Amino acid sequence: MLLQQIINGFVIGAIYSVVGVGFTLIFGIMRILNFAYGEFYMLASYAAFVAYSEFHLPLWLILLLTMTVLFAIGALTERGLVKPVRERTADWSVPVIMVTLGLQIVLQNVVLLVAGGTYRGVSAYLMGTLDLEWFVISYERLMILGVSAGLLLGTWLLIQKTKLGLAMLAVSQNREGAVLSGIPLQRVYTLSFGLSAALVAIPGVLLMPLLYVYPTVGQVPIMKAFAVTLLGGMGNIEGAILGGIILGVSETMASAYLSSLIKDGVAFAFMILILLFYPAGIGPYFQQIRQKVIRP
Amino acid sequence: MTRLDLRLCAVSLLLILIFPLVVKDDYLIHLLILTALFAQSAAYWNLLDGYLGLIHFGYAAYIGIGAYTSALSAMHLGLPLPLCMLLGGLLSGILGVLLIIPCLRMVTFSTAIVTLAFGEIARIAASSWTTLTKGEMGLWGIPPLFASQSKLLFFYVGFGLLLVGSVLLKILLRSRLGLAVVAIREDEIAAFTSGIEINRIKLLISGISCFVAGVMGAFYAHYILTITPGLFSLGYTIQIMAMSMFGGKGTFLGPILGAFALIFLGEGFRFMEDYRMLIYGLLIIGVVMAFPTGLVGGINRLKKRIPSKR
Amino acid sequence: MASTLLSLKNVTKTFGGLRALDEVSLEIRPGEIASLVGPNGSGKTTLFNCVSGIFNPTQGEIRFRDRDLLPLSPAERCKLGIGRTFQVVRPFMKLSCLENVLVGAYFGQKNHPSEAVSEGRRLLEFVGLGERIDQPASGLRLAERKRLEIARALATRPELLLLDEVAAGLNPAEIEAMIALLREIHGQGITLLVVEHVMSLVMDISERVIVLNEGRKIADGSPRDVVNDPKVIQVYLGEEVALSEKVRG
Repeated sequence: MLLQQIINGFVIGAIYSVVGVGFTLIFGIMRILNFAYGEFYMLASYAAFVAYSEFHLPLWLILLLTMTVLFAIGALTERGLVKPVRERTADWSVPVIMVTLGLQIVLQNVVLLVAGGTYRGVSAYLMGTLDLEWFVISYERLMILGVSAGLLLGTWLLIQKTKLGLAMLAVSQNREGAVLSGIPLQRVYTLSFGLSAALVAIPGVLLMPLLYVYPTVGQVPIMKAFAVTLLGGMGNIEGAILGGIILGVSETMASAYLSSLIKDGVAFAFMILILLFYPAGIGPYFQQIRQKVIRP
Repeated sequence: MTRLDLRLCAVSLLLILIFPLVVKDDYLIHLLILTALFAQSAAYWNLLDGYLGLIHFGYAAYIGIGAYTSALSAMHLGLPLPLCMLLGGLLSGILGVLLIIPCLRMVTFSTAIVTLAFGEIARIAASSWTTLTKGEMGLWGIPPLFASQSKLLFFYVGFGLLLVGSVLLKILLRSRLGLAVVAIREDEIAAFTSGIEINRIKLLISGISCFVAGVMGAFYAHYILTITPGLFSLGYTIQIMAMSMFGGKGTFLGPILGAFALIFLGEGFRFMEDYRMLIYGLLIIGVVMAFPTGLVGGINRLKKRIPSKR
Repeated sequence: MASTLLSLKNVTKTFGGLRALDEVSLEIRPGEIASLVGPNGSGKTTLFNCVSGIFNPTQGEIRFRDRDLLPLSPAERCKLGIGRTFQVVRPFMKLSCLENVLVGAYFGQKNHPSEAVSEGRRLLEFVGLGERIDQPASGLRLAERKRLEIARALATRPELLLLDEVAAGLNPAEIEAMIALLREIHGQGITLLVVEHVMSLVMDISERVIVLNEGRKIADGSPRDVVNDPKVIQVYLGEEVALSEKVRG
């Protein structure tokens, strides 16, 4: 039973991690909170719904397409909306946050006008469950876990091993130094925004059967993104990965052993507790440990 | 204060006094009362975040705490309403201080999550503690501040609170305490080694800011007469933040202007029915692009072009 | 009057596995100008941070006028008479120069200040920022910001002034001006403890030089003695020529 809950927790935790990574990425690189983040999720959900129920596209194609489309939307948002504000004032963090707030309202209402407010959804992408001796897991959930894990691994590899990833790290740690080193700041911003949107598109597609599709569905993921980002350490990718898992597992446990009504509250209380001991988030702490292990 | 500022103040005061006597539109009056409430909340949130630099994502919770405390004291303890409102403010203030204590040794953004988490926990508590708060059904039958149906008195009290709150805020900001607050925001360590007891001041300002939130919440309760746990939600905190940022974070008039601007922008397009919110969002984007430093920043820039006749 | 203003006894500071300070003991007498030198990472700023209260040593004692500093907050230590400037300048950027200094005057003094504004103006004139009184600190050049920090620290009426690399990043003319300013401050009876890399300043004004290396004190004496100390020369190797030239010249 316990193992079952932990597995369930991991599944939801993996999703939280993906959602958190996309959000913390933008915070780390641009030092802003993207309030339209949830709406990227929402758009992906709608796209997935249409692709699945109207065009009956296979899941892998839906994932690929939505990621690409959302990447483009994210990049466009940066260039069209964020960039003009950035260039108008030196202290642009706050105005950009406001602009994303405006964008959130616009996106929600455009979709509301175009598609109407009714809840849409499909039952599930995959049917059937894997029935093992120790626990049960539906193929759907297994798929969610697999895709999310793959995505997280891919992102981690991107950050650690590619030039773009290095540039992103540099910008997040020392913006001026990065510019002086010749890193094209504008390109990093645009690509990061696109990547962030592409990341949150995946949960948008995968969770569509679970959370349904309606204009304000984005409110759920952004709350989680917030929490995971702050728990893992602002701008800390690895922290977000860890934080997502921890949040997912603790939420599932609370829901199973206490009450599903207060599960959100318990998750938050748990986070406060962790922060009391690890004020900078858990990411830096684990990174410190890893340093010590690699170089004792 | 320049002559122009003084004249603007006098005019605004006069407007506030005669407005409800002249304009008989109940809905407009109601809207203005809510605006006054939001404006004060935004102003004191701004004190905490814009001036002191202490990020607070759970501010709406203090409005809620004040509302419920006052309502429940009135309904169950039968205390006179002003006292209930005071109690609401006090409880909010004390809880505000208590929450910040563990945050003192944290990194700035960790404070953000703790306050966010607190807001959520408070909301969930209000929602689940049904025996006390009646949960999601809402607490209704709250004794009103004024028995009469007319909104006139509520209008005057609401704006009176805003006025008193603003004057006190201005005095605070002009005082040595105000200097310490901004110094802490600019550089905590330098402030500490220059003799400012940063932790004491953070607690003090938190207490003041949350106290005011509580009082405004209490006022809201005895005006609307029905409150729900939704009052605690992050959405309201974000609205307050948005008003502050829109008008100019870290400025004095910014939050007030922002509150008026955002609420009336939202309302102004009511006639457009379905398109209202869309236009609202587009307007936010447009105004931010035009005035990136907030309305106050934009007005300052315009002012510089007007020669002052002194 | 006590013969020791500041005393450190066996002060050790560790950060995880790193020993930033290792059993450092020293005494600063009232009215002295002493310099604290050493290669990068030798613990100089850490020592300053321990004295001013940003953190406390892991072990050891720090006393100011025979009063235990460790239980006091940085603000309390400031009021006691310890002022400091920072290696990387930390003015209050959005505040005017006068407001910067007023912070020191209002909050850093033991007793409630009277005439703080006029005192603030006087101090700004004293450090040569008389023209900048109402300008925001963000508009100042580096050398001016350093002087602003000094003025702010002076506004707290310190007995001991900890100066962390005040000469770093200054051109020769600015360094000369800084030396003159420091002499004037010293002339008013304020004890100075100066951390520096710029040797010309150290040799010029110090009555005493304390050398740190890897957290340990390796020398403590007159400039001449310290410069000729083989342990110090070993640590500074390449600077040997420069030092002995200066001493001979």
